[in-house]
Amino acid sequence: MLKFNKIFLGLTISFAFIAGYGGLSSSLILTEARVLNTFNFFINHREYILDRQNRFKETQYDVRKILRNSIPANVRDLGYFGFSPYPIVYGNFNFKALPVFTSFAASTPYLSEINSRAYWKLPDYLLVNYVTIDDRYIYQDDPFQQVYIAQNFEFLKNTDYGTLLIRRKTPLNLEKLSVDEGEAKCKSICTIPLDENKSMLIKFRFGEARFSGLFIHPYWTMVVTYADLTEHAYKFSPTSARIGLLVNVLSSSTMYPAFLRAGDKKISAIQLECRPLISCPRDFSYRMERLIWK
Amino acid sequence: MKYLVKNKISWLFYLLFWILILRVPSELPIYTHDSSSEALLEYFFENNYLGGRDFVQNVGPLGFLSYPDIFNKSIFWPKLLLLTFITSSIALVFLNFKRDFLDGYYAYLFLFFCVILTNWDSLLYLYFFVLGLYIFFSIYSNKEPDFKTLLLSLLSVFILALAKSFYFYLGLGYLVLTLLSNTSLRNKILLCTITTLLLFQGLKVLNFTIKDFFSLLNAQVYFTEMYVSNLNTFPLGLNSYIGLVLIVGITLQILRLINKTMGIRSVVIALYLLFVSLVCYQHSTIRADVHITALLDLCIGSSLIFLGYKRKNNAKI
Repeated sequence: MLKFNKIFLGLTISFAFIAGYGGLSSSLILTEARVLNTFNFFINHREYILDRQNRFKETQYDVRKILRNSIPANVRDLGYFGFSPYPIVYGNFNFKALPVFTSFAASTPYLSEINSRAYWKLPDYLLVNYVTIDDRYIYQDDPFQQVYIAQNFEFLKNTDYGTLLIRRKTPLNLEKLSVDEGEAKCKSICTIPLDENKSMLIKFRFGEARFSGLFIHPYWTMVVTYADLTEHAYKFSPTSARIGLLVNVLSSSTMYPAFLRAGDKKISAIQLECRPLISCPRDFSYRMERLIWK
Repeated sequence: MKYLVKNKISWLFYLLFWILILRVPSELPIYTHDSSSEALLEYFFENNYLGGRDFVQNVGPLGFLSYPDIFNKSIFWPKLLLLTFITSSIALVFLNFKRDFLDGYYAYLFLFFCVILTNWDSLLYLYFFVLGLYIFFSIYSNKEPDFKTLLLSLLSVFILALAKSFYFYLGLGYLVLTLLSNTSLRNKILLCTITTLLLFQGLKVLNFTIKDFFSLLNAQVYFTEMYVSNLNTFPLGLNSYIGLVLIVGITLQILRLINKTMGIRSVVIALYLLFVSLVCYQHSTIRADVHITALLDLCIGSSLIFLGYKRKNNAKI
């Protein structure tokens, strides 16, 4: 057993190096900095705290200064859709948050539903920032909230921290035109058929996985081909795909900016790739809803 | 006199170790996703938004304790005091564990490793792991665990339970282990009563109902679904595979603890340790960044412990 422990220790340390852990030297440097910081605090804690408070105020001042130029002075309550809500915290606004307050985190049907029950809490002003983590596809982040935003908010102005939206006097009427259901049996690459000139919400139901997803998670990539034949590979989350995936095939849209950013290109094809095969589902079905604005 | 000097030295060693693992806020507020999320948890607490009730995250009503940095001045002292309490309990448990059950240079390597851990989560997972082993080794060596250590560790674990819901499950597991330990029945009743009363009192102070708490646990269960398996920490997308190797390795180490002399108690403790490892695995593979270090750290720490374990009376562990 001693031998096993020694081998396992060596193996783990090698993995740590491969992972770019930084090794002993960087750990020591970080530890030294942490310990010096602790001593600094104990020796002169008043100055230490004052210094931190001043720096926090400086940061807050910078954000507020930038936001003051772009957000009307009467706005106190601000909602947020996006990846990093720091402007609200540092900008000293009243953050009216949905329960799952970062867009990428509402990544299961349950969490998306929790948010949908609280849409009424959103204030009249909303800051949206279409950036997400881990190179995911932004329209996979809480798509129902994005649809709600597009229906109920309109463009006010662009700021350094995203687009400021204001609540519409009358919400846009959104109609689900038709529902197509399809099924795909694919080994590793699946192509999703796209309909011209429609924005779509696609939901996926994944079949039985070959191997339990608990230990070896399947690695999904979504390759989007644009009309100009350029391609971009995004990380694809199968759990959030059960909520839906917004695909806007329009090259320009009346839904701008809450739905489609300026400069977004027309999408001509979507392919999903899954690997390793051992943990990919045998088949999956999809359901496409076409969303039409009235 | 000799006793007093020895005692003073051990207290000095304790103080030094505690200072070395203490996290005094060092991060400055910067515009990044992580720091803003951390700052937001403090903002929520200040504005009476509680995790599990008003917002759904993998954190509880004391969610801001999940991160050692402090951004908001109004929360500075309470947070620092809670962190001080948690780190002093960790220091006490680790040093008592080392004194009673570890020997040789691996024991010092283990303490040194705990000091250089840069990831706060790694330290906490290792803490939960050591707590399980502390109970195991004390039963195995027929020793009565120190009551003060048990009480302090339980209190710190239940403070952590209010910070992250996974820690709540681990805390419940640890409570079961303390009931299995060699301590007297009177001590067991005392431990249960004190911790339960303080937990309920804490929830009451936070204006957090039991129903809210269960909704928090429910949300956490769903949160475990949130994985993206973006595998860029290791080259060629090997995060999950490396994670699998590590979890198999640590499982083999844990299974070795099951033995006939301790009977069902060894099985329960092994299950607890496996649970700690699985939670750590889930934490490590949920994102492809510094998260993976939690499992690597747990495996390095556990190997050092098993290598440094005092082998007496033909112990086979």
